[in-house]
Amino acid sequence: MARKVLYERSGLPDNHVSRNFLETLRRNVRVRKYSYWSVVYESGVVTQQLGSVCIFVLCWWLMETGTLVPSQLFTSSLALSFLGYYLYDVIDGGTGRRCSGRTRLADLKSVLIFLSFTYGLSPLLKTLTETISTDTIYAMTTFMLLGHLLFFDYGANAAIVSSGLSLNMALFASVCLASRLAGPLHTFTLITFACELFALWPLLQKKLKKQSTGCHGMLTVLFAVVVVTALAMVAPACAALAIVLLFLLSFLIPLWLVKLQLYKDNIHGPWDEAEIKDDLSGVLH
Amino acid sequence: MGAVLTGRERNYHYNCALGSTRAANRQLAWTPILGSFGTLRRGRRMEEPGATRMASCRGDPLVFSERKQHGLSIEYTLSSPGVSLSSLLCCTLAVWTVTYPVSTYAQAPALLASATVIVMLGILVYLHWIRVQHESILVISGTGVQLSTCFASGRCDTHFIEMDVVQDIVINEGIHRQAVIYYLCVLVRNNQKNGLKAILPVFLAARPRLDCLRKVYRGCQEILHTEPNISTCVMDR
Amino acid sequence: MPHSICMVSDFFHPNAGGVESHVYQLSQCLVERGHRVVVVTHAYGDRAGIRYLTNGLRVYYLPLRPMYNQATAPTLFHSLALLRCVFIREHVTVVHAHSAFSSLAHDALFHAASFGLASIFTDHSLFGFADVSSVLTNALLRASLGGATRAICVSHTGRENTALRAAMPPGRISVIPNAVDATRFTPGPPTGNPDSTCHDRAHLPRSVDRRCAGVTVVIISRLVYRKGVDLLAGVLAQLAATRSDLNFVIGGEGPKRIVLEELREQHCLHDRVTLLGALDHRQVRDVLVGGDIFLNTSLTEAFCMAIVEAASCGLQVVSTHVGGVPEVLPPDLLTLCKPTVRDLCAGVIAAADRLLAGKAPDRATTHARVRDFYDWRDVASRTEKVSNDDSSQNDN
Repeated sequence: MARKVLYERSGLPDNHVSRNFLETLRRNVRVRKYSYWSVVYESGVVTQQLGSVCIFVLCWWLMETGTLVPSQLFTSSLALSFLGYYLYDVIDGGTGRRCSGRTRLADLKSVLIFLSFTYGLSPLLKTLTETISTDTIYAMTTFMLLGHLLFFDYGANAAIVSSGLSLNMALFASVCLASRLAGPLHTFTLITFACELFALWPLLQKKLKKQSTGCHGMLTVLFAVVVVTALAMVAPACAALAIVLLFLLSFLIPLWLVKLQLYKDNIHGPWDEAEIKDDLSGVLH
Repeated sequence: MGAVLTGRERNYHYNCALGSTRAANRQLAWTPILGSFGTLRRGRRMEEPGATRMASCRGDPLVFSERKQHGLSIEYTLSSPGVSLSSLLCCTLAVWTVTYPVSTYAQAPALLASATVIVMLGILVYLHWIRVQHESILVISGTGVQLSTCFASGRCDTHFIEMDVVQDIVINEGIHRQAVIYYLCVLVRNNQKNGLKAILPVFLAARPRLDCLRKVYRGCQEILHTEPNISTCVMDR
Repeated sequence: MPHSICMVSDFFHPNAGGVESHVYQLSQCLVERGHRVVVVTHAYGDRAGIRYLTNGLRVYYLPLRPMYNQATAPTLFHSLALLRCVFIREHVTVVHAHSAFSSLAHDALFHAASFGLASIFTDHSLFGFADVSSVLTNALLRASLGGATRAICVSHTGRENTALRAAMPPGRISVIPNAVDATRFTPGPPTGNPDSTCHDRAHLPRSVDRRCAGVTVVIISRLVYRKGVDLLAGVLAQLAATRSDLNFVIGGEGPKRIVLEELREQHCLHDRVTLLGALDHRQVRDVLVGGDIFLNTSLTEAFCMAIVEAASCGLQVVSTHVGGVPEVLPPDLLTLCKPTVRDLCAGVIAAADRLLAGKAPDRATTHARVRDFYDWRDVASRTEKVSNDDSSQNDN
């Protein structure tokens, strides 16, 4: 068996294939083994986000038809936000607040500034899309909300994740929809609600998920139920479709992921580019 | 021995030698456009006794003629066949066939008229600036090299290079469009510094094949490397 | 039996690099062996048409526009007419394409297959399989090498890599390493009088002057991520702090030069670290003989020519253990290290200590050994054998 060196002639022809050809080849070294139920559990994040979007659209729909009064929505969402705010601090025993160093006063200031600006700008936002046709508004909203779901940070470390972009898309969708409502107060309420739902709620969601597993599971089920009931209120056919979609998302797609792992074929060998494992941040800027 | 230079041609060469190519051009009458049809007829009659048929790189027929004054000068001319009347007529008819229905449908008779005018102008431009009738290279020992291109309308473009800036005449190979061809070129020296000032290719439109180029090359080399001998020159009587 | 060989690659003179010098040296040695060789490449600026190099080597600079990194557009058919013209004109029997980055080479392989000519592909680089660019290039390679009759790789690791990427049976791939022009890379003083005055040697920086004290570490490479410039920065920072007798000379240009300049600023190493910038091919030898140790921090390398050039000049070589590097030189001439800052520093320090203790191998002996290992004429004769095998297979 010839040695794999270039400076010595072994006497064998150049295209001779020795027995140690490809002996350094390694396959699937870094493949993760998934367990079905853990994937199902994790897929709950997507269900929850879908639920958020459904709740938002439902609230808009109810305000549009007049069933929901802005003051009702405003007070209930504010109350829930305060509850969430309190839970956020209590859940990890105050370590988060201490680490970030933000005082309650600073938070209160931000809230007041936001509310006052939104209230002040709501007449402007109401008339923003007056010249645009309703169909365009609906199409844009759909597109933006789909984009929001696509770019949302579900916890995966992928290139497509961009939490800034997803939040912007959701808020833009909310502005689009809010501008079609009856008055500036409706606009103000919906936009505040959208901010609470898309900006503040994911923070609490992540913390809850980290703290307790049971909580996450319950929330997923809760959101699924809310989605189906909400859509049933609007149109029963939609509810049926929603059930199918949720089943697909929660059970079939995780099954597909687990099955696809069998086809993974990663090749590793000495030809791979070496990875720099040192921490060179002190040397490089 | 060798061709006799007529008075007119001698004057032409004399003027070229003085560098006044414009005067030389004026001597060659600028034939009016109808004269271009004369070229059509003339083209067929113009085969001189010493002419041979050659082919260009693309296979088009060329007429190659050589006029030699032993030890003094040599001239090679490559002629393409003239513009055929039938091709011009076909072109005009094609444009009319397309434009007539369009102008009838659009009810714009001005379209047909303008198309006709455009075709006529196009033919004029083509004959005057694009279609090359014949190209020639004339090497006069001790004096210089003259390259001339004559177009189908009768217009002639001449370029004279004095012998002291002519470094050599060589066959080079180059890439022309999507093919590699051999071409003859005149190397022009840079007087002040060493090196070449320009490479002037010859027979650009005709693009003859290597056998033709070899003949021209040998003839030119012979003249370039012989000293001009006055006694062999035919005097004017 | 003499062949008419057509070397095709996007990378040729006036571009300087490994592939370019490989094509040129191989062509010259094949001409010496009695074959007819022409080189086909794309036009470089004004340099279009046909040019002649030493020994009448004809180079066709085809008027094709380069798109990215001196490679032409991979449209496959824009070069067909010209390549066909060249193949017919030169009565080509073997088409020899170089470098997977060159789209002209891929085109030539494809067209050679349609014309029924024997074709050989020489692969000079290693590719991974994981990222998108590798996946696409590998698919392209599978298509091109489907038509190639033989392949040549510059190392055993390269052969394994090509066999996997192109799904080519390994029996059709030969391993023929690159070589080095040992007459140019000789140990000894820099060109010119060894006792020349400082006026003559003014173009070389002070630290290249061998008469200065301490150990000089030379690094010559393109300053890109692939060549491990980040690792190099870490190594420089650590070595400069721990050892005061080490000086560094870095030759080469690239987008990562800024990293090294910032490092120099940060640690105030202006007198110990010299950045020479882009080096002309003629200056490389002078810079090498001014040093004692050659450091290579590449993250991936099929066959590192720089290492062989450095060893030919008599330097000790310290390199990362990647790709085909371990196959290039024997362990007593080459110190291999893991691609980490700590290991590389340890390797350099060990080499420096060996030198200061007088236990480093003698420069002339090293040069003689490298001269025996690698020779362009040997490469040419082995390539000729591949062409012969190819043609006899074609005849059968």
